Amino acid sequence: MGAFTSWILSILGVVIIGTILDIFLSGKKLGKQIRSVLSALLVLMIISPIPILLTNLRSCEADFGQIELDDSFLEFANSRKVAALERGLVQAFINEGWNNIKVDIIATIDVNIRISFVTIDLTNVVLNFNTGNINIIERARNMAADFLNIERSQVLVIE
Amino acid sequence: MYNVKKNSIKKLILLLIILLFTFNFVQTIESFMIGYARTSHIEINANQTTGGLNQNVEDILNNINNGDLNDLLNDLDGYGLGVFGSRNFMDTLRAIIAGEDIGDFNSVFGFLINIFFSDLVRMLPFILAILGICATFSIISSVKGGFSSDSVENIIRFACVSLISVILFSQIFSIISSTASVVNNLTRQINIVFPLILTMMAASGAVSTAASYTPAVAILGQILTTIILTIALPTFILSIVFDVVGNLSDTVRLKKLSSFFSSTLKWVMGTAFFVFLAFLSVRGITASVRDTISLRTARFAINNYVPIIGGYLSEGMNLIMAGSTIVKNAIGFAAIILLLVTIAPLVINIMVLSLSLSLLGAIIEPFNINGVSDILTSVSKSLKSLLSIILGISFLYFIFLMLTINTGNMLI
Repeated sequence: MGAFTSWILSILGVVIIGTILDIFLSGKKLGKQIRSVLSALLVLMIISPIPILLTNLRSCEADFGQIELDDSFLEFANSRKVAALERGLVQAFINEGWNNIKVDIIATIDVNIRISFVTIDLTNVVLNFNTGNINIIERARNMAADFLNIERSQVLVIE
Repeated sequence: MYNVKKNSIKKLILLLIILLFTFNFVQTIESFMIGYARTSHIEINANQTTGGLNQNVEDILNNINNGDLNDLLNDLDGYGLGVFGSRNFMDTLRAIIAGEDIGDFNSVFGFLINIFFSDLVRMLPFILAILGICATFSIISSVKGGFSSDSVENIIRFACVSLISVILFSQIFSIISSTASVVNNLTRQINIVFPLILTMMAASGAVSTAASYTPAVAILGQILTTIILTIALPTFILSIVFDVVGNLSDTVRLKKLSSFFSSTLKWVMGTAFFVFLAFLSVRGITASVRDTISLRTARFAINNYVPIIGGYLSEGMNLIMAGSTIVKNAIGFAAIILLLVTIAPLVINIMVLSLSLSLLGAIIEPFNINGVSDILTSVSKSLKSLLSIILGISFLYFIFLMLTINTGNMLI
């Protein structure tokens, strides 16, 4: 900004000097020549920053900061969503007749939720249906995997 | 014939912009009401779930980092804070979410009237000084008789015009400094408000949209404001300086140079704003559609697989998404109020100065001082460029805010 100000002030200086000289020398012989010289000087003053500007433009590098989201808030919101998924899965089991199930979802929480694995604790489970020949561990694993749309290998069943 | 057609086209473009602005504004109000109505409907069903919507919103507000938001209110005076509603940004957000009145008509009216009259009072010494100088010169010119030659009269005239120019420059540079300060203030607002809004957007499920809008925030908050501060304002200064200096004497003519810088300013700002708006329009349409489709597909899949509990899970997720959406919209609205309160003093200041200069130019014309009336009238017209800079950046910020408020409401 200092260079810009001094450039404007130098042009102003030339204009003021030229005007004063014009007032004193109007009608005199040298008046015309001095006016021409001052006009040429004024033009030179005006175009003087152009070469410097062109040089600076070629070597200019813009460094703008990054826009970052609030990671702590996203962690808070997504942890709530994971809690909602856990409640949903528990309710799904209850509606199928599985009671006293504990579900724990381990997920990577950043902008998106990526479920790493799910643990289903069947230690205290109470089944309100005839189990028959059903492999309850496999059934629990399949239900959880289908509900959460994950691989069966990501579901760990504890009995 | 050509001029009539050109004017008609300009009027048509202006009318289209006003219609687009009005449509966007109405749509924002409508989508906010729809979004709030939908979340109220969810509240009825979700009363049995843990927390409920209101508790969810309160938890979200408690987890927002509000230090930077409160810093934005430091520059507001008493009247401005009266319009904004509170010294605390969070309190204003809670009031907006609760549907309370923010900034009633009396406080807004009082705010505008106070700025207008205080600017008018501040202009009076400036107006009277210029009038006094012109009156003095006019008296001296009329009584000179045989006491002074033409050279002396030219010197006196040059001194008067120079003195008027110095007084004029002091006002103009004060306004330019205020403009730079307001642009810096807007930059701070953009860089604090938008990351928060985009975070809420991502939390409410519009992840693609948030990612799409992030470069737009960088363009608006950093590139455009840098263009204004490093190119537009200096160009404006040059056009004003050459305009005034060119009128100091008949021999030194700088009018065309002044017009060149004035045209350059219009081209730079017009191009920058057009490019940003085009970028924003394309990004906004495509990203929002992607989020809407993917989110509805996921919800449809959950609902279809377990029809009984699908509603329960969907409600639970909806609480979190709805809470984030409500807070996002409230932040957007609060930011719009803050924007208007920030730029209103400067806009009124420029308007008062421009009108004062036009009035002065008209009053001084009968004094027949060569060049003074032209200086005042041309500077008054040039101030419109400054007004267009500040209104342009504010308009883009406003449009972007409305776009972010509109986005994500349809995901609920």
